Amino acid sequence: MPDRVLVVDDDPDIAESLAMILEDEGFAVTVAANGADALRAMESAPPAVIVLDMLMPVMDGAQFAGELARRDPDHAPIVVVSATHDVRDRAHEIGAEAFLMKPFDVRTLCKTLARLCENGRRAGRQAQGGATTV
Amino acid sequence: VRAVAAGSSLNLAERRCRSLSVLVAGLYLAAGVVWILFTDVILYRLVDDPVLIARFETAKGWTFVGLTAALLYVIVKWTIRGLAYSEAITRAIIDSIADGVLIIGPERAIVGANPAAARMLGAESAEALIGLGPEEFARRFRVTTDAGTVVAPDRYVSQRALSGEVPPAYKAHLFPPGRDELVIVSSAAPVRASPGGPVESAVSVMHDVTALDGLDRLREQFFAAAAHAFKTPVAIIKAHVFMAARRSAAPDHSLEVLDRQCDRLARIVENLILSGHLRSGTLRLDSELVDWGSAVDTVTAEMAHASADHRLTGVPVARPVVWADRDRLIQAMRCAIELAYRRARAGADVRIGLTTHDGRARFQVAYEELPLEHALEHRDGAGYTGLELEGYVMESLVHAMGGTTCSQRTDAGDRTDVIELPVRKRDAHA
Repeated sequence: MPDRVLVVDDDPDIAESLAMILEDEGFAVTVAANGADALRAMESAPPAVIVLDMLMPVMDGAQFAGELARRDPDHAPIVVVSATHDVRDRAHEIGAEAFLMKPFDVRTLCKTLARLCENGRRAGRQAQGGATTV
Repeated sequence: VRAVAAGSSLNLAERRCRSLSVLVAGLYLAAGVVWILFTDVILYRLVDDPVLIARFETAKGWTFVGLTAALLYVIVKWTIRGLAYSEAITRAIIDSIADGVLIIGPERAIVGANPAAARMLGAESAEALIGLGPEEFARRFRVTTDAGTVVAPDRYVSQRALSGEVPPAYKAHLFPPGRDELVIVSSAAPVRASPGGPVESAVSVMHDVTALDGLDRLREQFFAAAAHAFKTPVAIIKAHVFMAARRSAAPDHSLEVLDRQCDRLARIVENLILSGHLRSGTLRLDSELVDWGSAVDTVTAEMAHASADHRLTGVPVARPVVWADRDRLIQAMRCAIELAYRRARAGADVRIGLTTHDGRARFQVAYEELPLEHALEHRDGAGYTGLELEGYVMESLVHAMGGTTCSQRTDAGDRTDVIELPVRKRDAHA
């Protein structure tokens, strides 16, 4: 079963481009136009990684991350993708695993997502192993 | 130069003042001597009676005193009228100029101000500013530099002038209560009654540049906003180029060119945003110990395919650690390579290297430079080779990180652009 990536971006072109590339890379992709849509989408299809834009209407990236942390402290890792120069600070503030500044290198994005998915799988296996031991 | 000129004019005034005083005193002395001798000679010629001579001498004395008193009256009246007139002219000039003028007395407080100063500082009248000391001025107007640092009251140009300095003018931001931010260029000079004498007061001039500063900021904000707005479309084009290239059976030259130009556009956008930060003084560096060799590897991988015309060769010989902002260091090196691609002879290799010498790490970009006549052909009407953003960004970033840049040329036409930073120990801290 492919790892699911949730792309949260209000620009339909960039969301579509990312979805196209990531599906081509073998990921399953869900797209949301803002934080509120993303929270709803996560209920039906929990993602392995979240690709998050920061500036969005309705519920922006920071509000989404805050709400997500409140609902599920062990939520999927977040990769911030933003055009703002302070992307590093914003990513740090919301506890993101990684950040990329637009226009990002597609190969770097794919590698980052693959690494985070692999980390998630490894953590899941360790947790299962731990539970079995107990 | 200004200090020397001010000193010369004070010397001249002093000399004129002294010679005029000597002339008046000399004339008075000469007139007195002539009067006494002349009237005595006439008196002794005409009168023989000693009693009568004594009476005439008394009358002569009184006449002299009367005449000189009248003369003194006229001279003082003329002088005072002249001084009052010249003071009125000075006052009218000060009151009519658009710049704010403050006169600081020996007690360090304001003793005079013009209406422009009152208007700029939001005071009801010039008189309302009188008696304001530097500490109260600081509390009321919160004077800061361009970078936002608070200026201590004893560092105000007026206070420095009062201590005898002729400080250079500087830009300051003031926040008058209940009014918009005021941006001024402030200058001051000490006032001495005689050259080399004690400073008796200081004159400070405030030139309002709020509107100009606002325009500057607006321009930078426009560039930053425009540059940010470019990022998303470039990201979308790059993503589609990537997809198209992946789906294409054979390498597609057009897609390669598109990809390269997208990267170039992205670099221009980054440099425009950075130049905005540099110009507005809002550049922030997140400095840390950086493995410069690894940063060179990153920039080499990134820039290897950035030019269709030049091959990027060379590897770091040394792997020094430097104190720098890694992303900004990479941006500076990227600019150096970009400039080399533009300046190199068609088809020539661009060679990079990283070495250490005498405690300094040295990143160099060497290439065979385009002959001058060809380089000039590339210039536009304004005399620029492209935007020349890269040179500005590279130098500013390297200087901000405590490094230096230089270029070396050989007679054979080879050019080497160099970025140098001090080497740090791997376990060193800031």
